[in-house]
Amino acid sequence: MTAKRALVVASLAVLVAVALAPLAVLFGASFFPEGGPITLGAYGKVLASGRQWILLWNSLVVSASTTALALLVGVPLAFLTARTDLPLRRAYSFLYAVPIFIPPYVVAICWRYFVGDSFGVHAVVEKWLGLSEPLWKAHGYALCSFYMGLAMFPLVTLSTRASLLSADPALDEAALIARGRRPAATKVALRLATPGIVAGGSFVFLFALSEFGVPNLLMINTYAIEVYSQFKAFYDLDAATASSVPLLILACLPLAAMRLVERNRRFALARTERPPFTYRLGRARWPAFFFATAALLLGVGVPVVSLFVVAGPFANYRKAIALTGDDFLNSIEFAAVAATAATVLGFALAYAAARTRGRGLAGSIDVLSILPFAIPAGVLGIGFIRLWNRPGAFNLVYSTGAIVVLGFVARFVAFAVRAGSAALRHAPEAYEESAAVAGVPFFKRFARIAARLSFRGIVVAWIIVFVLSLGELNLAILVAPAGGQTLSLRIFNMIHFSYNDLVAALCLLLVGLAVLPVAVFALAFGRKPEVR
Amino acid sequence: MAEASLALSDVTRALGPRFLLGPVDLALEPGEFLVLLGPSGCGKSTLLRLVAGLDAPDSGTIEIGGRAASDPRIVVPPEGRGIGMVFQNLALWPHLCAAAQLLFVLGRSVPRSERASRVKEALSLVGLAGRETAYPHELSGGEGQRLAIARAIVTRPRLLLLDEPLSGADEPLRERLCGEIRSLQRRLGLPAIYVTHHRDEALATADRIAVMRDGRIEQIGAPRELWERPRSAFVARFLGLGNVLSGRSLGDGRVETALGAIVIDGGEKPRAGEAVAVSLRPEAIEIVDSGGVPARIESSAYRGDRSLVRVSVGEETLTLFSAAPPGDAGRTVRVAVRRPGVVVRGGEEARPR
Repeated sequence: MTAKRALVVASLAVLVAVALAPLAVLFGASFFPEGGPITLGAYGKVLASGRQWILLWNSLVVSASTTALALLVGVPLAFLTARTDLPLRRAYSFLYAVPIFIPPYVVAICWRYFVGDSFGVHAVVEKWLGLSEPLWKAHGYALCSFYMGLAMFPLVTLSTRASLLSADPALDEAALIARGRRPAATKVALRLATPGIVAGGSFVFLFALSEFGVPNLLMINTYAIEVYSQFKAFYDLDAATASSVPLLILACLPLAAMRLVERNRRFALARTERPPFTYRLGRARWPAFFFATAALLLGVGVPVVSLFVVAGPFANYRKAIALTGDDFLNSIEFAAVAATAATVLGFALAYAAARTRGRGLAGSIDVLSILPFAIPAGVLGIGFIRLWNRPGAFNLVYSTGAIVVLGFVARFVAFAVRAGSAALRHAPEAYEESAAVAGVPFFKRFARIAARLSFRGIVVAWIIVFVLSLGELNLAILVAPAGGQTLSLRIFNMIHFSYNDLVAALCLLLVGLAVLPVAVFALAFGRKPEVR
Repeated sequence: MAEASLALSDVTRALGPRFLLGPVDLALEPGEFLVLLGPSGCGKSTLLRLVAGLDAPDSGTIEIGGRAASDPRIVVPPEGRGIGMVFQNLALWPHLCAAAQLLFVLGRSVPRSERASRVKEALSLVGLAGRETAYPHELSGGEGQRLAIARAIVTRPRLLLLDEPLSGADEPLRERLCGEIRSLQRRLGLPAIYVTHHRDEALATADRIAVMRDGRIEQIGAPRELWERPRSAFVARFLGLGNVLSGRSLGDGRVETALGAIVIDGGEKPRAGEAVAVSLRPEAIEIVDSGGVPARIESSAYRGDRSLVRVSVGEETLTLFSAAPPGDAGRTVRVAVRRPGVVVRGGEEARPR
């Protein structure tokens, strides 16, 4: 076996062991309840229940409306910040990404502080009008989608911008000469950004489908909560597994859409060194600026200002850190280890996909790595419990923070694979081939050429996984062992005890932790903090 | 006299602190095929982008078909200039099939009933009839180029701009397509500017060639005129294999050089004793059995019907053709000048290093 093949096989084996084995065990076991003969009983029970269909409908509505809002805000914002002469474009190109560093349930907490039925604006209005009853109830499905949409639109903006920024400007210029600005922008620039738009929308849909924190805060029932309840309240693993199947089918829809668009050669753009074409907004410049400012105020301004106001004096931050103790360190440790492991695995998989000519290997790696993310986090969590909750060596993982780390790696390795694949496009294979001809051994070529030239992408992959792991709640809430609680979990638990100032302080500390590596990256690479 | 299809007057454009295009003055006659020729980075494409309206000049005026397209008061947007353009990388929209590319370009400016026939006509003109539903990734290299041309002419523009449209094609395809573009342009009577850095392409197709260097037009004229009477050492060399020798005028229409006294053809005769540079085409120098001056063969390259030979005479290195095998490098032969030379500007700076 050649060294290259060994790397491919090893990375695939690790992916299967870490990310796919829990799912295989989970679904395998659901057909054999309590070790008995094969049966579809658990599925029959779940599917026959009218409640399950209502929950499924709720999840679909919440996820679809969240995605719609994220697209409505995210796509225009991406176009305005990437391809127009919008005032303050450079600053906005950085600011739009801030909500990525704020977990969705924290955004919901912020908005609760701002307009909740016993906080902020609401309290002022209530006092002003002298009302004894709340003027509005700050919960419900629409609000849930609104909060999640505001928290997640940067994902759409990020991926749409990536498509818009990689387009050959000659394509826009050819359309401009023929038809002018508007048709060029709508029928060429935005149409060619379809893969980025679909990918961003799909990620938002999948995140929304998995989201446990926001629906729980707003007291609405979705499928993610049902899966959690089946497990935590009734400890019924078979029912929890069976409950997750419809959710899994739902999750496959955006995944399929994304694959279809990405594989469509009609959207394949040739690489270009020229900067992207910039559209002049003309008379639309100020209305566009108003839209972008409003979006950023809602997505960034309200959450951050609310947190600062509620957190209060500096002493609260110290108090919050003292109160959380190990949770703070746990979060950093788990996120850092998971980010490192996922980045190494993700880059090896990306390398295998890019440099192996085996038919369908690249597509398989893409699908297999994204599957653990597409599957709702609660379902993945149950899979982890089923696989690792066994006596002996398995328990060494199950009873320690290792299970949280493995969970984060499984859930977010797809992001590292994608960042690695993008980075490898800047390291043509010919560089390695010329070294191979000169007698340089494989692992040296891999490390000194492929990895070295992709270093920036590797760092970006690490940051993405670190940030996502830091704010992860949906999986951690199921698998975190005693003594292995994370900051996200602590915040989530404290919400229910009305420690608002401490919760706000902890949320800001969490956001600060997430922003830290980005700031280091910007300083180290001497780059303007523009998020492509 | 018919109105110029394109007129540029004192056009300048600064691109960063180091590059200034112009001032450029240029007029294109109706139906004329003008080639902008020059090395990479000389400003050919920038000039084309100014004409297309993709970039605005810092000063000067541009008129297309007698109407102002750009002057200090008005800048007509690209879509209002009535031009068709073929881009260097073709810029075919990957998400549209061949017919849809043309339909998009036609837009609402053409009545719906007319659009289909216009698309069919344009695709037939470039030999793509029957390929209406093909997407760019399904087209061969040559078909891609043809589609880009069809897209540029389907609107019946007043001016056609071609920015190195054949740069991605291999040599035989380039030759064939170049001829096809020229014959199509003639058939449509469409004035066109064609940007290239290929000398043969320019010489074979152009009505006139404008040789550009460092943002300026160094010389403009018919291909034969530029070939036979280059005004500068740069033009002589860029048009291919031109020898530029330094010498001193004898004042009688001859210049004393390393090859002996060379007769100067046409133009103003330099004064006696004046230092000048003389351009000699390779075919003006021959290897001879007797007479001439001794020269050392540096290298020779077999070119089928003849050999391209580089020889050194004193400090000068010259290029010439030889029908017979010239012998190995290092051999000494005798060379003589058989035709008059032309006095050119900038002999020293154009000398190869």
